[in-house]
Amino acid sequence: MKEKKEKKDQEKTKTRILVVDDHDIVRKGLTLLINQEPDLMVCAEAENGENIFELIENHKVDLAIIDISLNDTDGIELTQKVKSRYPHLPVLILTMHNEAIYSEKAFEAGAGGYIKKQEAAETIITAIRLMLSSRGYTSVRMAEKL
Amino acid sequence: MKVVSGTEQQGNSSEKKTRVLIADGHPAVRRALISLINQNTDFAVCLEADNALEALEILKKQHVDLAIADISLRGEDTGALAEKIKLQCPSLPVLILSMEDEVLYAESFSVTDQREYVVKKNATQKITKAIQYIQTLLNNHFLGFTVLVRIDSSTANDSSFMQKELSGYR
Repeated sequence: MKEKKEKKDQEKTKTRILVVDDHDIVRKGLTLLINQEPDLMVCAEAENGENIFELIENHKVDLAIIDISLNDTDGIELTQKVKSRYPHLPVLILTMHNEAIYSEKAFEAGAGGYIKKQEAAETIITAIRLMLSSRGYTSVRMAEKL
Repeated sequence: MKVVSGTEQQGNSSEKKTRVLIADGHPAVRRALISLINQNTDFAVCLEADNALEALEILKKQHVDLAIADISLRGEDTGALAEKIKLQCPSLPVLILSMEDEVLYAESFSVTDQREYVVKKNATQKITKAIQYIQTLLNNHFLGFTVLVRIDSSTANDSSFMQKELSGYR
């Protein structure tokens, strides 16, 4: 009982992250990576943009990670949608693409960060932390191309 | 090369398990695969590589019973990697994972003795199933086979869990 309460109290202080990716294996992996950080937790997962507003509100999301290629919409459009309703919610775009054009579009849509799925686990966590400190993130290689 | 923490310290218990190498460029996918595979008590992910060259180096130096590789692995296309594994370790079973638009490419790569699964959604469940299938093959002393798992996120036809060309040798 006491342990449960302590766990709940700990969760209250953690940064709450929503992961949107159409590959369940990527969602699972990101959740494992993020949840091992003492101050971060994945509070909700989604495979598409359906019900994203409900998820953000019901789970009190502090940061959203959105895959650039989703089934029903692309991550850029979804980011635009999210940012128009929640302008202060940081959005980190996750991508497999190298091309600078995608990162430009992501930033135009309001994303605060853009990171390749191939980046090391530590880099993904660093990107999340930079996003939370309002500094934004783009991978070094992407930054060179911009 | 990364030795997966915990697996090398298990001593005799891990020696009895099927030793798995994961070669995938996505750290999140590697993490999910390690978690999935280690749930099966007969398998232990012992080594990780994030590019093809590293995977081949590991296979030169370490004993591995099963290699799992992403088709779009950096450093080398995995079609070529699978062929090189066949040359380097002809009896080593290989599970190839393919995501997104690489499907056509996956169909064209020239690995013989290929078994294929098509995976639409719920990749984690299907990979678990593929691992169980590989376990059956290994228990029946099949070696040198390649299983291809296509992780396609499209919503069309989720029922196509397809097995193609059962060859391989004992």
